[in-house]
Amino acid sequence: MIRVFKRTFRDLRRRTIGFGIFGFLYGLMVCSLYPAAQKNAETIQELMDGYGEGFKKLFGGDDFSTLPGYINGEFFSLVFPILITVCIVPAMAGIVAGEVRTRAIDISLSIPVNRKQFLLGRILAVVAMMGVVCLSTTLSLELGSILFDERLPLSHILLTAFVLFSFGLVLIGISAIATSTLSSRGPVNAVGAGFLVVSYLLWVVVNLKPEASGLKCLTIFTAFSPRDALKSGELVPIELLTLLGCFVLSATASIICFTRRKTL
Amino acid sequence: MVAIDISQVSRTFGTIRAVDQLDLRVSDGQIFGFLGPNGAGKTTTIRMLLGLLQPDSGSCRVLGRDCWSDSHAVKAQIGFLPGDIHLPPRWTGDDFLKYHGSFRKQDPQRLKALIQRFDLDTSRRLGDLSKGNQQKVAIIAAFMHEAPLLILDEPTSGLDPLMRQNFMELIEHERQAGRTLFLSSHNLQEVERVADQVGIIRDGNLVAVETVTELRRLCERTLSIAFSEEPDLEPLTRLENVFLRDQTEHRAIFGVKGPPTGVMAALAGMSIQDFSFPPADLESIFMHYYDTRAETS
Repeated sequence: MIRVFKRTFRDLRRRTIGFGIFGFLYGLMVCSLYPAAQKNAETIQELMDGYGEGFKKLFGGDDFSTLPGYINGEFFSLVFPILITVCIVPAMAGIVAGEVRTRAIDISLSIPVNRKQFLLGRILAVVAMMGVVCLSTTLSLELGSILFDERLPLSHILLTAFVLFSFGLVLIGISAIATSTLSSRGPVNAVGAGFLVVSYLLWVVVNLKPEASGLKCLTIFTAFSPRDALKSGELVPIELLTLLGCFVLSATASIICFTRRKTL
Repeated sequence: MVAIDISQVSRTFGTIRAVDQLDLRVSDGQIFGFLGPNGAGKTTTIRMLLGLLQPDSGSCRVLGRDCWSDSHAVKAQIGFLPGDIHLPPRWTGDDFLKYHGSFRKQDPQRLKALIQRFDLDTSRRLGDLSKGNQQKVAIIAAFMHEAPLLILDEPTSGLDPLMRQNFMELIEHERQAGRTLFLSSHNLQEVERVADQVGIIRDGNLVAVETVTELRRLCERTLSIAFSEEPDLEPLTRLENVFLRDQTEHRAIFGVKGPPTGVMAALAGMSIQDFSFPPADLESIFMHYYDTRAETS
């Protein structure tokens, strides 16, 4: 499994570097825009106050006056989920489903490892890639906060990285189920992206329609609150456990599906 | 010992029955030629041996182990060359061979010798290599770890004649080393040259498993005779194993099944100008089985 992991991680290095750099630069850019936003904080807040509470919460626009609130609104509420989806889902689609389609799986699985070790090694390589992207993204926030005189504690940054990482794990788990059961990249990409879009739409509905609050248990965005980690260094255990639990369950399900799959 | 033991195996894909109640045994140390046209069930059989497909019924065993439930251990005993080769385009040949070699014990000298034999530049990216050179990489990966059983699906497709010759020499070398080879191919001349036994598969069924010599004996050979005067063919057509296929004034073509003793006796008193009775080659044997089945169906 270790050899499969190392080889897969090596194959993902371009993607890791590319998305790592993108996340880093985007984080720096958000920090660099914060002083200008701070100067106009009152105007922005007035503008945001014109929208409903649900809308502000949805786009993280309820706290533009602090750097953590600004980063949450400009980065974590929408751009980061999209970034991590674009990074993870195609990688997951390629590790099994893409190879089944081209029959490259015949050679990949001719090595003497069982399917469980094979899939686990490959999933862990994507997890490692995502960890690097989350870390580089959040470290850019640390650097940006130093450069623009609003220093964020490193412990808060690392906890935020952990929250972002946990969010990405759920996407990996869902994509793992898709890649272990489907036979080409396209449907896996559709499942991964569809999961994010549906989750986000549910989150929108939950925030805009108080009567639909029962739906909040159906979206992972309910358990995704990086602003609290960034602002106060606090983690909400139940949220993290929910995200990690989703990952463990979905990754286990994907391994069971793959080992029992009759046709590759 | 039995290297490959396929017993009553069936496999369907939707409504298509790719393999139907297949029974096949390949002994240890044997070179087995597995013949059949596209869609006959060859690759499905091979993929079941590798644990990539689970049989709907029956069992596939390699060196005593079940190919589905114990595929990990089975694959450790197999050198595999797929028919449809898709190598990771960004890896170099060295990367690929090193990665595949890392899972099994191997002799670096053997790897070096194989690379030299096939005259391969392993420093180039696999995506930049021609189909033939990619085939060489896959052949080396299959042979490098001295597996007791080699499963080769269309091994020479894409190789030039020189490399094909090299490959046949390698097969001969492996035979002498006592390894078992399961060789699926369209190239009947090559199979004929190396195989101890041949299996012919059609529509997922094995229609014949014999040695090449035995297949030759069983199948119809063509006897072509030019007579110096108009012949009386009656003594020939009376023979049970002789069939008149074509006739002109001084020429006749017969199909002969089995030993030609009776034919020789019948021809003894005739005035023969020319005579041809070539041995049945594997291609005609193959066509024989397909024609027979086509007539039956």
